[in-house]
Amino acid sequence: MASRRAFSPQTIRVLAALCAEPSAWRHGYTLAKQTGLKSGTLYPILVRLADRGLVEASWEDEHVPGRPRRHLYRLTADGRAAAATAAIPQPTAAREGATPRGRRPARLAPRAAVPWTG
Amino acid sequence: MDRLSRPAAAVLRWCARLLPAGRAEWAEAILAEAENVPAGWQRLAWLGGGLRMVSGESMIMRKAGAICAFAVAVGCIASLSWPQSAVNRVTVANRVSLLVTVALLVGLWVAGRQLVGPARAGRAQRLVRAGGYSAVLALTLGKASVERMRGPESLGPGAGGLLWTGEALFLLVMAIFTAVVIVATAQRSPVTTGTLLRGIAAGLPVGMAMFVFLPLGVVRYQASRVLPAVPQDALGALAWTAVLVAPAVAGVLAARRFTSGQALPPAAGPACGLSARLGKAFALSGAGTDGAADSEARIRQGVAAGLVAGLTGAMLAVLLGTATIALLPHDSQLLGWLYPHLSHAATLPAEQGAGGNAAGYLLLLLAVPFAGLGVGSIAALIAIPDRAQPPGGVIAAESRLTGSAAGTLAAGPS
Repeated sequence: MASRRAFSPQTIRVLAALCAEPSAWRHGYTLAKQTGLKSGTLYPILVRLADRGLVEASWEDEHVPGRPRRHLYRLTADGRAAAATAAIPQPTAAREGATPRGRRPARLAPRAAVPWTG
Repeated sequence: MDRLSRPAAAVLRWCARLLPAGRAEWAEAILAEAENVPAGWQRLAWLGGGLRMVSGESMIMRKAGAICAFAVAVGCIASLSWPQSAVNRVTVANRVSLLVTVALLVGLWVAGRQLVGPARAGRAQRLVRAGGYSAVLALTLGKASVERMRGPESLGPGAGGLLWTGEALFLLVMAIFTAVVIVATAQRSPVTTGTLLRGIAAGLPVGMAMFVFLPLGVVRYQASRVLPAVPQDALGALAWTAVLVAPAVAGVLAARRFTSGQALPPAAGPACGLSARLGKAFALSGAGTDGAADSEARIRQGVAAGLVAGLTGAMLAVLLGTATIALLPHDSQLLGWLYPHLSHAATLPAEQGAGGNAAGYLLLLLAVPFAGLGVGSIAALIAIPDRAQPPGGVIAAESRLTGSAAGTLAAGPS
């Protein structure tokens, strides 16, 4: 369930980056470049958003030789609602339906509930 | 991975083990993503950010800070309550008491992690744990200071048995208090945050009332000056009433406001009467109806709130009382404020009398939590209807099912 707590400016930047293509799976490094956040700031934000059910995380199912599988992120329906509440511009319907890079990542097993502490 | 980043990646991979189960994949995600970051300083900075995340998520700094604070507090107490001179039976007992108390705090913390998990991540739980541990350490220091004020009769022959019995009782009470604090704030605790806070909120005024009006009269002279029109006995009766009413209120509120599904599995079989329902609420096996499980979970919250209220009140009263008595020889203003009617020559016996009476606080610490537990249990049982039992009683329900007419004769409210 989405929290009513106000988002930090950094979290709003992450939500805005994810909101640009809400249904597309995004990599951490791409998000770091788009938001200008360091990994030490970006990932705790992603962890909190995932805990609150605003972001879903998944490992890519396609194994590329020479490098490990990457972790991917996108907004959930709650995340889109939260982004709308935070007055983050929503994308058009055409962009929303796009699936980037033609990959469908494997779904993770449901994560154990971790209490929201942020 | 380039040479510059390889050691950092190895450190991050090792540190990821410190993360809880649900968080470890995030460190793996940073490691995997590092392969896509340009090699060199950028990748090193990326991995450094990963270490920062691990540090935050595993709460290493907070845990290290808590351990350091505990060690410093124990060191301070040892230096304050460990006089170099006048080693006698009382100082030996105090040293043993301090060592056993520290062993209890550490041992119960370790055992609690195994049995009910680590502390819950909420701010309330962290504060309660820190407050509980601080209270035990402060009381140990206060007790050691107060016992130095005892008269020479405590060093005489025959007083040793009483002294060690008192120490054993004190340690037992501290162990119970610490165990309740650990269980109530643990991840697998059946006590909700609301129950915990309601119990504490009810216990704090009880503690203040007991400190001012009961039982040893340290500040009763001042209380009688502030409230001259009210008889002392009436104030005492009011304080005792608060001791009984506040845990009941906390128990009822905790039982009625409980909404989440944190119930332990209820026991099987019908339960009639208050004691049977209470036993069933804390049984760990069997299965019951949804309504019965909800009712039992509510009763557990009420019982827990009553116990927390009693423990909070008793600990606050004992801490304030012991600290006041311990400060008497060091603070002439406090002494003059508490005993303005005494001459200079009479203050030493007054101090010694207060020091001797401080043992009475131990009884308060034993009695009030049990009173809170009992009153909270009864209040919760009365406030929560027995949903496991259909109208007309268990036997009536059985007779309705079997069609037996004889069962209806025995039916009746339990």
